[in-house]
Amino acid sequence: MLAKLLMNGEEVTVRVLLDSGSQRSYIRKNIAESIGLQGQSKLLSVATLGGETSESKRFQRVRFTLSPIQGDPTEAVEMEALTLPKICNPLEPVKLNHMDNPHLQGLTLAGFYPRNSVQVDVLIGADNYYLFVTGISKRGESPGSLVAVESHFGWILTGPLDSYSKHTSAMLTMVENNEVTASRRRFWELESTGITAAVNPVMSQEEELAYNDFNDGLNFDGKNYEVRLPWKSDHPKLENNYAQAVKRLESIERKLKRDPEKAEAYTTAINQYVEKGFAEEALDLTSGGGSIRYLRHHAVFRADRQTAKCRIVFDASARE
Amino acid sequence: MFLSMTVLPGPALQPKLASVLNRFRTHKVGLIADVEKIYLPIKLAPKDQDVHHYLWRDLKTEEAPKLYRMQRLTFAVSSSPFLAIATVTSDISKYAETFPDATREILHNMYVDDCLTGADTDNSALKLQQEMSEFMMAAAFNLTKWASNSKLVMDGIDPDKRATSLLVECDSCEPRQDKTRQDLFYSAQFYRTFRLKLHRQLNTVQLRNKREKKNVTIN
Repeated sequence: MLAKLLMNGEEVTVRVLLDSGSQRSYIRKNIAESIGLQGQSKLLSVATLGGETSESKRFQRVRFTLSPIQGDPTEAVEMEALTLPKICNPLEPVKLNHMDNPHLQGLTLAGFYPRNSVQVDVLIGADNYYLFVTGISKRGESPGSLVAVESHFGWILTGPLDSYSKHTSAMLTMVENNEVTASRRRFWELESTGITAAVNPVMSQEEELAYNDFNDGLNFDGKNYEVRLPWKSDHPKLENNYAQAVKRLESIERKLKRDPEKAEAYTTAINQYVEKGFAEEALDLTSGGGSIRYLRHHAVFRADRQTAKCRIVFDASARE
Repeated sequence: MFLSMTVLPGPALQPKLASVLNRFRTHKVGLIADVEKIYLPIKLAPKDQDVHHYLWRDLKTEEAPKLYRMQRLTFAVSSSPFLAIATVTSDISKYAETFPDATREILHNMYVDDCLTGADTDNSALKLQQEMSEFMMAAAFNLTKWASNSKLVMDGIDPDKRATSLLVECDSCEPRQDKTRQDLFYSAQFYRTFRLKLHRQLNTVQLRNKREKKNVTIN
């Protein structure tokens, strides 16, 4: 198919190949440059016939208008295409005679036949295909005859070109969006772990709340720091769990009474909290003015040490 | 309803573990230490001590249980890791000029209570060790279980504060000159201090996350 490419008042006649098997439309770079088409560039890899995928290349995306060489100029189509140095090898010459195909009589074709070997300037892929093609076609009587497909630019002929050509050029192109750049960035990010400057993580609102509450509540008595818990603002009141704590204590005591060595270690470890001033006997339960809650406790014994080592673990998260 | 559901866990202030490990590998002289019982030097506000009662009666089951009140941070509350790191680092800016190296290492290379640091020379490693200890001591934190691949550094550290397991190696064999950080990584001592498990064949390092009780595998 022949068409006029219009841009900035300039006009070039271009050879157009319609190929609904291609995902994208392409324009030969020389043509695009000769009339000064410009556009954003894009990194893409192209998969071609045979399943081969090309290396990622930089394509320019350009916009232009195609207009019929004969017929109604209002049928002009504005479209986008990617620039490519070469779309395909030159098309085979076509020695077509209207007269051999009665069903083609009287049709205004979008090209001139017979023609010599020609270079394809623009390839219309599936993205623009039906801007040109109406969907109407005419078939001949015999199964192997040419089919005429109607387009806004005139009728297009398609079908087998029997003995005239040595072989038919087939083409299928497909474009896939390139993910390489993104995965490469991730790779380098991983490689630079610990080397690049740490970025302060963005805190969620709740985290910021907790942090501000910490800063407001932090106190230093000259020896130790004092902190307050970052309570949730709308937390339900904690019920007194004394009864559960007693049950838990009794269960621990039952276990320890079966193992005097562990019992001794446990007693020593838990009493150390008071001896070292980390805990105190609670003679007055309302000293702090908060709700009263009891922590469960159990021990972790480490047998790998020479002396039986016992660590008391307080636990407030288990359901009671 | 229980305690950990009513408090905010707070932001994760510790640096990324993989970053800490990667940086540790760059030192000529490796230096590791542990903050001894990081929660216990931190006092709880009196009001919050009220949700930290516990019962004990020295196994005298015929008596009524005695009431005790825990006054320090414990593992029981989900906000404790956050509160501990926030407390340790609260004075960083105040000491940044006096101890630029020590404060930087504590801020960037301390994973909650495990510190993995180092220096280019024995002397600078020892200086770092002293400054870090001093900084932490000012807030009542005790850096302990010090370990290094340098015998000279180990000799300069108070024997009470050395990682006992590493002393065996340091006394029995001189670290070879060509010993790389990787070897320190592989050493059994490191496993003891940091709870690392090495899979040579898989080329991974497995690390037990004490708090979440999960194994972390690093390739």
